[in-house]
Amino acid sequence: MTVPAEYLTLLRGVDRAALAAAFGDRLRRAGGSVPTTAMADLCEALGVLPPARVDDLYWSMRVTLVRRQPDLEIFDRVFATAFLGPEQGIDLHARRHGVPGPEPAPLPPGPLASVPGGRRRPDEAAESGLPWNTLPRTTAEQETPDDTMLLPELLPSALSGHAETSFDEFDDEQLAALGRWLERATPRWPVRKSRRVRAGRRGERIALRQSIAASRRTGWEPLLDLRRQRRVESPRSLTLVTDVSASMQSYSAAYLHLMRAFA
Amino acid sequence: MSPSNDEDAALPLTSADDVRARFDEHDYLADQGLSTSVFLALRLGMPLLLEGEPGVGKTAAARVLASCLGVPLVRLQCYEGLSAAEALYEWNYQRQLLAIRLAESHGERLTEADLFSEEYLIERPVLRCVRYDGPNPPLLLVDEIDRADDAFEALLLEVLGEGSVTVPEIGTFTAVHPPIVVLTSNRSRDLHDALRRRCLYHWLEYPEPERVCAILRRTVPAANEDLISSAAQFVGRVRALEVDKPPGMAEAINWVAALSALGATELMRETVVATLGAVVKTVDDRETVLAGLDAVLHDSAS
Repeated sequence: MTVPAEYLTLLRGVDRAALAAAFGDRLRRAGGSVPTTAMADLCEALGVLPPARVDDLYWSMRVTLVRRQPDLEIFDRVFATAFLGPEQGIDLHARRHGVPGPEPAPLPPGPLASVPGGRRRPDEAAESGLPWNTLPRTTAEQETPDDTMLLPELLPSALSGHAETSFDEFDDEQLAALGRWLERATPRWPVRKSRRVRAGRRGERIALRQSIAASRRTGWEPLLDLRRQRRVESPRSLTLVTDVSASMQSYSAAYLHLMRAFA
Repeated sequence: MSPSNDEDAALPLTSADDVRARFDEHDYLADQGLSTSVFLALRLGMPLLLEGEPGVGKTAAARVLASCLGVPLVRLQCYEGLSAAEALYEWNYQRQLLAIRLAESHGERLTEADLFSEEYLIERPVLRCVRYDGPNPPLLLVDEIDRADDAFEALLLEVLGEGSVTVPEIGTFTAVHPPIVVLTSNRSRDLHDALRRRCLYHWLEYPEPERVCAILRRTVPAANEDLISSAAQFVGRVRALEVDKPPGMAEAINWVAALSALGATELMRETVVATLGAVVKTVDDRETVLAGLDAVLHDSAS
């Protein structure tokens, strides 16, 4: 007895629209451009050509969703993580939150990761798993002459690496990152208490005027509705004087970002 | 326009595997990507945009598809400056003038509507496909669309999206059976998103050496096995060199045909130098290949 063709499909009982929308969304988040009509085309294609193998699914998706050659690389990567890799584990936590994986911006592995200390074989980095939650593997039995002790080698993060770079070597992306960092840092600017007070629910002193005014409603019984007041806190004043003349040209972009953050 | 006489082949294609088998019958070895994209384009009624390096078999695929389906192939070769008058339709200016003269001599009055009627319309490839009234819609091949201007892409949008052509003076012609449209591009410039959105897309890779061998065996039956495999390796190595125009499948086929016409059974330095013009097409590339010839020959032989 032969099995009918519809039972051989890979996606029996799968909501095609949901699949197309979810995968299209992943592709978009990975940087590919996916028009909405392309997702509709994919739904239709999956109906016309029910995939029997992952290969079939790959080609139906690629033909309908990808519209330009540079996107192919992104597509291949997203497809591999979604359908070929063990990215979505069976444990619920991973399903709900996703595995902390390479999805938003995969960093090139290797040279920038901090290397734990201890004795280390040259090929150990690849098999040692996650360095932050497993202890570095130390092996004592292999006493070969070229087996050297390694000191913990702490490499700088991407942001602190910029500290060594002079401003004129920053490219646009780095400048934008600097601008964003400055914007985030400004709310931490110290404040000073002024002599003025302002009504506020969490103030430490009772606001007499407001409490009396509010007690009019209760027949001048103030205890029912005590108002509080607090000192006004204002940011410490800061005057920035920036030289953006030609001689300071290499610094001006960074300085202007600083001024924008404080504005 | 070259109507196919292959009446037996005029059967609909039922699946992607069927596409591959039927292409195979016409001596075109399609991979799964191409067969899937062709099948989906036919079933979804969408245009198919084939992109790839020159000589990977984009135009040949369209031609084979037309003969598989037994439908006429209408080919529109794009070039810089291609306009609606050459691609869509044109008014027959001389006939219009003549009609005015005749009307004057007979003392009749001609209105504008009389002059801009279907009688004076010259059909160009796109309109011809849209107005085709046979049972099987023709295959419109828009070849090398990247060579046409941006404005021309915009002209095609209506026919790609709705299968219709609007002539402002007359109205809109809508195809009863929308034509099958295949567009090819060498990616010499980026096509507009609006055009891409309306098409299914397939990027044709240069085939891997085993596949090149299979294609060469099929297309140049006279060549022997050793020659084919070392030539496939050789062309692959030349592609890896820093050449301006990497040889495509078409060059490989021509070259092996040339070698076998000269009676070569294996790659010898003298024969390769003599026939190198079939593989590399510029002086600079020729020099690059000659400089690295010994290494390439050694690798291909091994």
